[in-house]
Amino acid sequence: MIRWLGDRLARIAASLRRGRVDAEVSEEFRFHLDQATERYIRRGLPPAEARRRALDDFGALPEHRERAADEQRHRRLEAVFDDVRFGTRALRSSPRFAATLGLTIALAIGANSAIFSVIDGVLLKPLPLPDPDRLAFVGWDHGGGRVIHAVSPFQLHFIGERAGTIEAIGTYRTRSWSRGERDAPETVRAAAVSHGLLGAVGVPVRLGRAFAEEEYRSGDDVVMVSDAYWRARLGGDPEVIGRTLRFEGESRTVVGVLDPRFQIPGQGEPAEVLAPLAIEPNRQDGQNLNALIRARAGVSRSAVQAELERLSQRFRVENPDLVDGGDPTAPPRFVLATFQDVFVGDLRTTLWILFGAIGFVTLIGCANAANLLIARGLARERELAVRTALGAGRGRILQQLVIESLLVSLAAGAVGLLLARVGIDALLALAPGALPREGEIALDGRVLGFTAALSVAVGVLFGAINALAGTKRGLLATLGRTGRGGSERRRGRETLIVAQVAIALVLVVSAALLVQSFARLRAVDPGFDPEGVVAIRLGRLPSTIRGEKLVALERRVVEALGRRPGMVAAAAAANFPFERGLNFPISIAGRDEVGEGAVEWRTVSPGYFETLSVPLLRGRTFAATDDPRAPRVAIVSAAFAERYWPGEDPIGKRIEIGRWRGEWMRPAFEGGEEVIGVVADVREIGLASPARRTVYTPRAQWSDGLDWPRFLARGPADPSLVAELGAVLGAIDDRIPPPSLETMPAILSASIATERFRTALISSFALAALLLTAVGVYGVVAALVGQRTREIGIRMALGAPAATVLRLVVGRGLGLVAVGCVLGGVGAIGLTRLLRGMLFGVGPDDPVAHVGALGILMAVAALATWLPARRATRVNPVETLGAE
Amino acid sequence: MDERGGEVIKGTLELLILRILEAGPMHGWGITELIQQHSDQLLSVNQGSLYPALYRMVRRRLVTSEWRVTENNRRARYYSLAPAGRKELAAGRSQWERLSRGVDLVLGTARRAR
Repeated sequence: MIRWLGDRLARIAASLRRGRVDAEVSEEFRFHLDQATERYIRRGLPPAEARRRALDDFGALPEHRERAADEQRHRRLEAVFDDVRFGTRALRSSPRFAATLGLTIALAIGANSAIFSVIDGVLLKPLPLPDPDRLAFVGWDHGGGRVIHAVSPFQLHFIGERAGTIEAIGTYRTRSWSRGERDAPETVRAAAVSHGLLGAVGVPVRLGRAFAEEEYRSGDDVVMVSDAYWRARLGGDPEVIGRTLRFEGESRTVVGVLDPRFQIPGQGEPAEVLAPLAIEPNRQDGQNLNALIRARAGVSRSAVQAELERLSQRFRVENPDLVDGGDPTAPPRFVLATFQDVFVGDLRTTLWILFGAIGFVTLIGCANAANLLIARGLARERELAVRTALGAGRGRILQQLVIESLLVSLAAGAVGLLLARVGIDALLALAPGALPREGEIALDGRVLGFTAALSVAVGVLFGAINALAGTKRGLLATLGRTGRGGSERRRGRETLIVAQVAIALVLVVSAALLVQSFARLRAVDPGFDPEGVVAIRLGRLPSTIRGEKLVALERRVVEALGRRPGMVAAAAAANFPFERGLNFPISIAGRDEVGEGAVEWRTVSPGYFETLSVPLLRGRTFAATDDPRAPRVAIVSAAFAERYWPGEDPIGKRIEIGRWRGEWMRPAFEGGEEVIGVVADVREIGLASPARRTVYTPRAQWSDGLDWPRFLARGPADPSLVAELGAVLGAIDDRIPPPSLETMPAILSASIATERFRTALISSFALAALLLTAVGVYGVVAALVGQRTREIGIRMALGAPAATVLRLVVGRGLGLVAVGCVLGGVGAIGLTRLLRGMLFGVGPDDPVAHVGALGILMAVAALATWLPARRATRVNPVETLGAE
Repeated sequence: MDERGGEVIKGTLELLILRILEAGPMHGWGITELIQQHSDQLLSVNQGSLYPALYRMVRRRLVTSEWRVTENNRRARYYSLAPAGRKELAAGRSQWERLSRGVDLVLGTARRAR
């Protein structure tokens, strides 16, 4: 393997040299021709004639050149082969050295490749669809850079009707459907796609046809199926078009099979079944549609953006009521967004910072590798000197050393790839929920190329460092010396140590900041007590269970939960805490003021606040009597009360859910609700986000269009719960699949998975950096002691106390560390600024983190210095002096 | 006089080169000149075979090469005999003696021993 790689390399190197070889050959020929010409001139021929004769004698020049150059090249190639052979032998003769070196580099390369493959899959690779550069998303800038990457049906329609630069614009909604009959329903990932989405995605239909225009308006009786679903579930039946399948208890006709390439960008798991989605062109609320566009062929991005600017202008003029006042200098407008803007968001910074951090670790690793090589170079100095004396030029020695380190780094790259495979799996396991485009993260050709390039770069880099440290002063000089020679080399190693310490400090400071931030985040009071709360999710409910029936089902489940031993309280809710709820416009009765419009709206059953232990501040919580016959009531959060009734008692005040700018959004909303209680704030949408103003309403009073329930119970999370609830649900309707069980602490933990992910990764990088640096410092100080054993012996013989000797060695080592710390400290102050967006409750220049990290690094470095230094004090003067 | 003289028999060129270099390092041009002189202008070397032969010999480590400055201050590549070349020369010499003697005898051109 190594030999094969070497051969390849030699060939590449030889072709790079081709130019130089040709030049040398032609210089030799020119000399020959000149000499021949001169001879003819001496014989009395005029110069021009002499030249011609000489050329005649010489024969076909290009042919000579070709043949001669071939011979030459062959020779150089052989030199490279020699080096490869020699290098292999040299490495084989010191397997422990080769293994240490190779493993260090393999780890570094593997980590780099793993992180790179994630970055490539998530950020760099173009979307795997035709002409991906024509794809984009449209978002809405509220003004002043408050951008949401979504539009309302009204806006989608507005753009679709008017934009000339856009070939297609479409949106989708993800659905989960059940297929089949009562006895064995299967869950299917479905997507309802609007008119235009298929065109925007841009892959043709494989079989059958796409939805027809009118089917987007009326037809909910047609479907298209994905290629994978068609193969796996429909047996790849070529006659599938026209077949009827039952979804959600209703029959739908298959009109088309999608191309295998079909995917909706941003959908984690690709949809198996598509249905048409009707867009109500006049719906102005619900600004939550991802709008995928495909630009017309040949239209640039900036042309599309320019047209969107014009359309924004028109939109503002035609719909003044839909445009918030805002800053007149930065009016709301449509904006183009990339896939990464929409689906990667903050993760992008995280990923690049991880990449930077692992790059730093690699540099430290390379410094250690170079250090190892230099240390070995000391031992080989005489060998190299002999070679120099025997006529090997500096270039030749350089070539040999670089080839040697390339042999190591390429082998390490191969091992690194294996490590990267493991690393990718580990990253994906650690990664928060789902990284977007997770399926595209893989060891593909691009990662392979990256790894190969990195291996070569690393090999050349430290090979060159080593060679330059060795050949700088002319190796001949060292021939005459018996000493351990090479203050050049020592200086080289010391420079590396300073760099290592500096880089490690930056990483340790970053880790300290993130760890501190993470600790603060964990310490945040979510506003409820998650410990001991069980969270239960239901599978797909049959479409017949709606409204009153659903409320009845919920009551049955809550009762069943309450009957279990140890259960303190139980409730139903549309969402768990830390899951996004409904964002809804709510007005205050009797006030014109619009306020911010939307607040958090959650429908819950009685017992909700008791189950989560959310403190009731005023009034009462919901009771079973708050049913459809009773007046509509609401409970508001402290933040809500503080915002709308500061200093007043909110109890008895009225709010109006679904009333926006004086209009009721739907007739069903009309009436308003009485506030009956105030509860403490809950950080519903995440620990890092301040509590939103929240309104709670009883589920029984909002049974129309109720979201499927989830259940919460305070008590033991016993697995037998699943069977028991399954039985209760089965008794209601045997199509309901059994529920799944989670715990609230686990959900809370998952809500900070991104933070944990980057804190864990950066911390492990920092730890690796710290260890590598410690090894580096140890190595250099140990070498220092080794070199100065004689001197130390003399000093001790002359009566120097051990403390003085210790100071001598430790002082030198710590001096280097101090220089590194100063440089690293400055670097940390500059670089940690990049972390600002990731920190919670701690600033990037937090002194505790900076000083603490410095302390940790100094302590580790001091230990790494002290261990070899201690050896110096044990030097026996008599032995050392007698030794030489 | 025919400038070209006799073409050097294939295979003997290397031997001639080695012999020339035995006297000391020389560049390609000098080697052709010396072969011509030493052979009383009977032999001339085709440049098309000279340089490939030289590079081949470098590769086989029979000779080594380096760039030097000539007495006229021009840069030229000088070839010199390597130890392996010296051995090759000795072996080649005796082989050639046997061969030419044999050829002479067969062609009847040899002066019979008296």
